[in-house]
Parts: sequence; structure tokens; C-alpha cells
Amino acid sequence: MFRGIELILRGRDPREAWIWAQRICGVCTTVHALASVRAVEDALGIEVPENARLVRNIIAGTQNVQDHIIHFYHLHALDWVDVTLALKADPAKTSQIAQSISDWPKSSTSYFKAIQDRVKALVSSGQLSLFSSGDWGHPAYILPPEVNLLAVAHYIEALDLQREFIRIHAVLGGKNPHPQSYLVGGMSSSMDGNEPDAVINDERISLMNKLVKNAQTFVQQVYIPDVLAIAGFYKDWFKYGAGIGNYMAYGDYTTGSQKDPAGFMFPRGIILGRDLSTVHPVDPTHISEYVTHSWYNYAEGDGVGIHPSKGQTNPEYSGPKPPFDFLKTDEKYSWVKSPRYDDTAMEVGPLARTLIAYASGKEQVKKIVDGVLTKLNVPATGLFSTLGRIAARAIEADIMVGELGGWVAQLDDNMAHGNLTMHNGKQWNPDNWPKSAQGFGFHEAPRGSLGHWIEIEDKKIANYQAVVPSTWNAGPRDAKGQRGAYEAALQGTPIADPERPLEVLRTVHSFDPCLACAVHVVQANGKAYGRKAMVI
Amino acid sequence: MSQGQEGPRICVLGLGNLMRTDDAAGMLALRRLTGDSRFPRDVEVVEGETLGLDLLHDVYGVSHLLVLDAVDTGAAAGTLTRFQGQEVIDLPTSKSVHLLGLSDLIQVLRLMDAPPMEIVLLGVQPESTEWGTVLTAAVEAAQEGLVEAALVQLGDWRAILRDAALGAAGNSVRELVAT
Repeated sequence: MFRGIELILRGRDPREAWIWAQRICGVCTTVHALASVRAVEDALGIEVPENARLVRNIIAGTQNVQDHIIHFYHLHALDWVDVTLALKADPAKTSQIAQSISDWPKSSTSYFKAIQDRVKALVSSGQLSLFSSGDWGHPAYILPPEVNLLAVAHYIEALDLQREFIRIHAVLGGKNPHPQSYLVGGMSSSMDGNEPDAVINDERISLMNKLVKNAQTFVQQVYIPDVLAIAGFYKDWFKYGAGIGNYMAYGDYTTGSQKDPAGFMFPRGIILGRDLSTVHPVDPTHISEYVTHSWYNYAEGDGVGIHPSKGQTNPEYSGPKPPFDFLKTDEKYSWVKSPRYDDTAMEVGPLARTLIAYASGKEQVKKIVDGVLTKLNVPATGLFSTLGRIAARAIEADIMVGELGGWVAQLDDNMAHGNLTMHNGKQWNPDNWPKSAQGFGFHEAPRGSLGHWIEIEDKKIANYQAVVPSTWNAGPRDAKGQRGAYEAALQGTPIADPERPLEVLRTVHSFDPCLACAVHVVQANGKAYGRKAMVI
Repeated sequence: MSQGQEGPRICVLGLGNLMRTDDAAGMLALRRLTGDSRFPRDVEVVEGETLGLDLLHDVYGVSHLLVLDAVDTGAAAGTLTRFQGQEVIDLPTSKSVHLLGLSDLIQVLRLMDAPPMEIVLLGVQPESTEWGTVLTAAVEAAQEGLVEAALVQLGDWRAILRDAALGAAGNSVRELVAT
């Protein structure tokens, strides 16, 4: 699937770019709107008020936590958890396990029995529905039935948690998905403690506080203990799926200027060759994209790398007529381009961010990471793995949900002190703009480093390029034949049954792939998806 | 009573992609319905468009769910169809929580112990789902019938609930309706 949003944006008013760019993806809602307004603000030299930064942080941080929870329970858990085995569990034993790993109150025998009965009813109806995609009975599933039941119960609870928690987007952005309150220069959310019609007032602050608190309890009492429990049974997966070993983050989340990385909660940096002793700087001008193995062409030829600010989107499909069984990797074989930093492949995402924060000496991150490693009795090198990505995501959710509470409190405090400014309108009028301007907007999205590059000419968009996290991770080989993160991570993965390569899915899913915006999805029919058609 | 439900809530949900011609039939019928002077104002309205799991919050705890959608049964274009209860759940399911179909949504609500007590799907047979913002003639002509059928269904549910409430001195409305 190729969307061509970058082409649609040309010739439009830069101030409306975010409305279009946000629609690049309906799964990673909001992240493209944020990167887009930041790109325009960077081009026009606009600093946004503190309240707008806080609102943006709360929207993005909520997305981060919700996305991580959905990923673990609803998109990835069933690679590790066999639903059909949960039906064989003794609910009393599940209750004992649950109470031994957490204080979470929903842990009685009768509770797990009721869950088991509901899943049984679903299975006996002959329609597995959401559970129909699993490779049930596959020998790579090794959890005891009781732990499977625990995970299935929390799968269902997580459905409930995520639907409540994302109400924060409806509060601050008017709707979900795709919040509508962005503005170049700030946000459009009105703020007044005593005004019942204001977007942010005392009532809304207490609602957000409640939702954040509930999410924090869930992360600490359910998500983290579940990751530890499941990882404890699959420790081999701290050895598999390492990948390229280079990690990059633009960094993000500050209450100060976006131009000052020193204030970022997720630090900016690069780790090369799994060497945690040095964090290298990131200079966004060193990024280039290759199309050597992608279904696009460059005017300069397909062997060169081009910086996204000069990026070209000229689709040219040359693969076999779908549906096909095989793609030749020495030719073009992907709709995803291949981004490189200093001509080197990078992995982005929660693991990259966690490693860079850890190596940068961020105390809070070090403490949580070391705690997890100690509990699992795994060395720090175990983080370079499939399970490392899963653990990093849970750790990040825990840190982020704590920060969310702080941002809501700061917003409340500003409101109490009469600081209600939400927008900087100084550069709103295009008559004040330079004839030409270039900007880079970035965001550490749930799946990793997201960049938008904009070129403004005569008040209109002359060029627009987005390099999304899944492009960094999923991109094909570059001109030198260097593999991207997915491809590299799959090398050396043991596969019990080549007809049912569940292990491959474990590693690919550990990246939380969002291929809607990486323009990569070829809709296969259900059974063939991700199985024999793997392109490795 | 399941854990998601605290009292009777009637909700009408429109589904469909507004940019894919007849796929928009349910959404457009919903708008026509809510603009009708006979539409009861105590009924909740959800423009579901193409959303899947994101609809969970809106339909969670609803006791009576009326869905309007384009449904391909192979009949002549514009044919109205009605599915109730288990028939809705028996519709084909999808494989991903990112492409959640209606029957999956109901299955998820069941797993969460919050399924609607009553569910009715009123469908119209599409002729085209190509790009476009205008319904084909047959489906456009069927819009009025779809709206009338929706009004009848909502009227029936409200009458049942009203009778139950009147005759339910001291008892919960929902328990009586369930019997």
C-alpha cells in the first residue's frame, strides 16, 4: 500500500499540514500531527508556550503508554501465550501465581474461573475471533496453563484499561483517534479553572488525574509483573533477535525548548555496536534515505542516499504481480525506503531510547532497568534481544505514566496562577514569513524516532518528507547491501517448524511494526500472512 | 447483569467509509435518522465510520445496540436486511485488532462481560464500494426505508423498556427486560 500523503501536501498552506499528515496512520494517531507542527515551527522560528508543551506532552505520553499496553497484550502476547492452554488451567493455581507476583486485586479463583468460562464459550462457539490468528498447540509455547490463563485475563482487562485511558485524547484533542487541537504555535485547547466550557478546567484536570492514576496502577501491578513472569519462562529470547546493534533516538519530551536536547526526558543519542560506554551525538543533517531496493526511483539514480529535506517520492513498482510467493532481495523488494545515519543502519524505538538513557546515566532509567535485570538474573547484554525490546517498552510505560502525572499537575498549577497562554501567534500571519524556509520536526513516537522535513516557498509547501520509525526498522537493504533492523534481527532465529514460523513473528512483532505508515502492507489473505511469504 | 451495564442505554451506531460510495450507506442513514423530527433524543448516537477497537468505549455498557451498515448478502442492490442477536455474531470475523469487524467487537464485549443485551443490525446491499462520495441510485432510494426501519426498531425497544419500568415497582428495569 502506498499512500502518497507527501505528494498531497505540496502546494498547501504549511499551517494545515498537520491535519493531512496526521492521516498518514490511524493506528499511531497523533504522532504525525505533532511532528508536523514542530517542522513548521522549526522552519519559522516559533517557540510554543509552556502550556502547549505540557498539553502536547500529555497527549503524546498518553499515546505512548496506551500503545505499549495494546502492543504487549493485544498485538504481541499471543506469540507467547497459548489461549487454548488457558482453558486447561486450574483457576486456583492461577490465583496463587497472581497473588505471588502482584497486589492487583482481581486475583481470586472465582475471577479466573469466570474468565476461563467466557473464553471457553468463545472457543466452543467455533469463532475464535480475535484469537483466531494464533498458532495454538505450537511447540514453542512453553508457559504452564495457569500462566496462560493469567495472561488471557489481563488481555481482557487491558482492553478495558486502554479504552478508558485514551479518553485523555478526547479531553485535550476533542476526539480519538486524531486529536484536533493542534495549531502551529501552540494548541487550541482553552484553559480556565472556573469555566465549565473550557477544554481544561478543574473538572477535566481531576478526570485526567484519575485516568493517569488508574493507568499507573495497571502498569505497575499488571503490565510489569506480567512481562517479568512471561520473560522468566522464555529467557532464551534474551539471546535471540539482537539485530544490528546500532541504536538511535532524536530524543523528546521537555517542558523547555524543543531546540535544547539537554532538557529531554528521552535523551538524544546514538549507540554503536552495542557499546554502552559511549553515547554519540545526533546531527539530523547526517540522515539519508536509499531506494536501491525500494519501489521508488531517484532522479540522480538509485545508488545514492538523499537527505529527507531534499527527499523524493517517485513510486515505481517493479515487483511481481500480487499475490506472489517470493521476492528477490537482490532487486527492489519493498515499499519502505532505507534510512541511514552516516550511512549506517539504526534501530529506533523503546529499546533504543532505554539503552541511550541507560548509557547516558539517567538515574531513574538505570534504577528500573537494573531492577528488572536483577529480578530476571539476566546481564545487561540481554537487553540486545527480542525480549529486551519487550522489557524496554514496559519500563518506558512505567516511567512515562509517572511523568504524565507531573505534567497534569504542572498544567493545574499554571492554571491556578493565571498562566493560561496556549498559543504564540506572532508568526501566524504568512506575510511575516521569509520567502523560503526549511524545518525539521521530530518526535519520539511509541515505535521510535519520527522525523518530518518541510520546505516552505512563497508561503506554500514546496516539499514534505516523513521518515517514520517503522521505516528505520523495516527498511530493506541499502546500496551497500547493509540490512535494516528487522532483517538483521531475524538472522539466527531458531525455528521449530518452518511451516509455522512463530519464532519469526516473535521477533518482528517485538519491534511493534506499524506498516500502515511505512507504506509496506500488501494485503495477503489471512492464512498466508507472515508465514510462507516471509521475505528473508 | 453483566459488569459493564448499569441501566438501559439505547445506542445507534453507523458504520462505513464516507469515501467509498455505498459503503457509506449506514453512516449517511444515521445522519438522516438523527435529523428526523421523530428521532428520540434519549438515544445515543455514534458515528463509527471505519473504526474498530476505538469504538469499544462508545458501545461499552450499551444495553440495546442498533447498527446501520452496508451488508453484502448477494441480494439486489438496495435490498434491506435485518440481523439480530446471534446472527450478528455469526457474521465473518477479522484477524487483527486493527481491522476489527462488528462481530469481533461484540465478541470482545462478551469477553469483557459487557455485551449488549439486544443487538440489531439493519443492512443495505451495496452496489459499489469504489472511491466516491455519492451513493448509487438503488442504495440512495433505499435510505428512506432504512431510516424507517431504524425508527421502528428504536420505537419497539423504547416501548418495551417503558412498559418494564412502569411495571417494575422496586425492581431493576434490566432484570425484568431480561426475563
